[in-house]
Amino acid sequence: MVLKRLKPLIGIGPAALRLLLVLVLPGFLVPAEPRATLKERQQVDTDLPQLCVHTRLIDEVWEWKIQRSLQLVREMGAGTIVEFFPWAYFENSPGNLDWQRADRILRHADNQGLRVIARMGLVPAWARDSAGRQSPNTLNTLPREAWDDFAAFVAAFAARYQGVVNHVIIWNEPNLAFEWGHAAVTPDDYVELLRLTHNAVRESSPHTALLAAGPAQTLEPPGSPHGTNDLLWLEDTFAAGAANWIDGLALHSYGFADRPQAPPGRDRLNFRRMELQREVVQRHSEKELAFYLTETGWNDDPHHELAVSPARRIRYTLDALESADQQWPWLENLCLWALRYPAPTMNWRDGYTLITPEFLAKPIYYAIQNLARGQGNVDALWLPPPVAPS
Amino acid sequence: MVASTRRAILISAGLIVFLLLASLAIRSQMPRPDVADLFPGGQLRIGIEVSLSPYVQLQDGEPAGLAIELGQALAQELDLVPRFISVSQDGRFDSLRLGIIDLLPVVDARQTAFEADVLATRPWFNAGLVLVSHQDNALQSMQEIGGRSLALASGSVADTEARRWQRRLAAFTVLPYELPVHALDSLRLGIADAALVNALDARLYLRQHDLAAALHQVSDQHVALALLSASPLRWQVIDRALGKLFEEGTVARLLKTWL
Repeated sequence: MVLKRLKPLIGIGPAALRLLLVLVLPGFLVPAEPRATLKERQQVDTDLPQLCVHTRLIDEVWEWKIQRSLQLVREMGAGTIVEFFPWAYFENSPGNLDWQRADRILRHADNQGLRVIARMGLVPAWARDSAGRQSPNTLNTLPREAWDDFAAFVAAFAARYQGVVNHVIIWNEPNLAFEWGHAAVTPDDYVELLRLTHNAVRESSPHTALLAAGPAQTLEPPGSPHGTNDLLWLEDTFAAGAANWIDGLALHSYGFADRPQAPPGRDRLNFRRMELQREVVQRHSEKELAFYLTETGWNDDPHHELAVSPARRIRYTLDALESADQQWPWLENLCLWALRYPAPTMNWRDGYTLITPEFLAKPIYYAIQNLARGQGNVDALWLPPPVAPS
Repeated sequence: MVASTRRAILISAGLIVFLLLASLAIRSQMPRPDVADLFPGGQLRIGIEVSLSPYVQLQDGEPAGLAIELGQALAQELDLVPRFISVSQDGRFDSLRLGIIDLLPVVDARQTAFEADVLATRPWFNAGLVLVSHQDNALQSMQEIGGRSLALASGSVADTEARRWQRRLAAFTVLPYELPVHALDSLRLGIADAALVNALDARLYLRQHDLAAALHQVSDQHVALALLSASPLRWQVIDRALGKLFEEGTVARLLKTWL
């Protein structure tokens, strides 16, 4: 019967049908992606409770890769992740929220026993255009007209994930023009955004901690179109009352070419610059604020001027983790940028990752794991320079 | 049945050939894009990252290097004035999108696959990993490293690559050094049988040391120019100009000068 009904279709030509089958059939031979079923809830076993890593899971297509990444975080000995939850991905049209992409990340993070710090940013097209079609703009363009919408989104996120996500970072590196779509945003503006977000989140989720975004370390001179010196930015934002609207600060302090022990200086960018950042904040705030180092690390891309050798990157990272553990009890977390990207960036950014997109763990991953889990040798990492035989 | 299949294949092949020829004929009739229209103001605005050594570096406070000279040669080829604009590492593609610059001279060609609105030109350099060995005992592939010693920079991409090969080949000894230059020293001094480093490190080292070396490309990292895909005519003009620089030997000369 069925064959009879198909007969007129077969009439289009057996050769064409065969051609179609040849083109379509191989698709069925491709093996299915692994399933990402939840297993027994895990616990993180670590000697370094501050250890945290910044993940980039939101752009991951396959759920099993999210699961595998988070499993690798736990196995490395990190108990916390920072993950980016872009507004643009969740609210395609005003008020129309689709949480699927966050749900699957947070489900697996919880299953691995990980804490999550959420970073919020990136503006949906409808909000970018809310001040009239601005041309050109970027995903970071946040017109003043859309600030309430952004605050409402953060509040909705905080409410949905209460108890799962306890810390939310408002925006990213706000002292850089790039982070606002090359628009001029002042410290006063940013404090206003914090105030709006604070009021919205307090109403929806009173126990979610709001963290001000850490400024990027930069020595940009006054008037630079690229950004504002991070210490000056913090002076101005905290003088403008930022502390009233936050519970803590997400600092960014990369090591660049310096070793982690190198002393900080106002004219110097290095790992311990976070001590200066913290001093500025404390000078302007009587409130007890929590400090999270949500981005740090060293880059080992061989052609980046501020990079170190891969071997030294390992050494410095281990030393930084040990220093934080022993000397900075005030630091809640030290989060390394970054575990892995969903796809290679093919540039210096890859010099920050611990694992390749193909899940090949780099030597630095094993070294951190050895330190955090108290395994193996973390002292002799390389041979001395070779010398000519005498 | 067989005849009808053959007929279908022949018709399909004929159709493809016809479409190809038709598109070629249409292309040949199209006027060549006018450079002056594509680059108003007569300028070629090139985005540079001053920390991208050795492609770009500061010399006496001024940007210099391979990418600068390539940009100059490209502008000259197009009868345009080169203007180098410093772009941040994070914002370089946005600088293209916002029309601040016309092109980026140093981009990994594969990266444009992840930037939907950016196109790479033909590559002008392959910066991937190379296996360096003595010319009189040259290794032609990674397979030949089994049973020998391989020097590399500890923790590097080469280290990760070597760990991958260690799972496939007969045992070989890895000599991890802090720097690629030490790995190459190890080869030069006869301690290691080969060194695994990237092409830039290998070329820079061989310029400065007396070592008759054989290089075998182990992995690719094609470096190209990048432009916005929204202006395919601009891409066409730039890619064609780069092709001309290859034909004239300018690219080879610049590579030899700087690497």
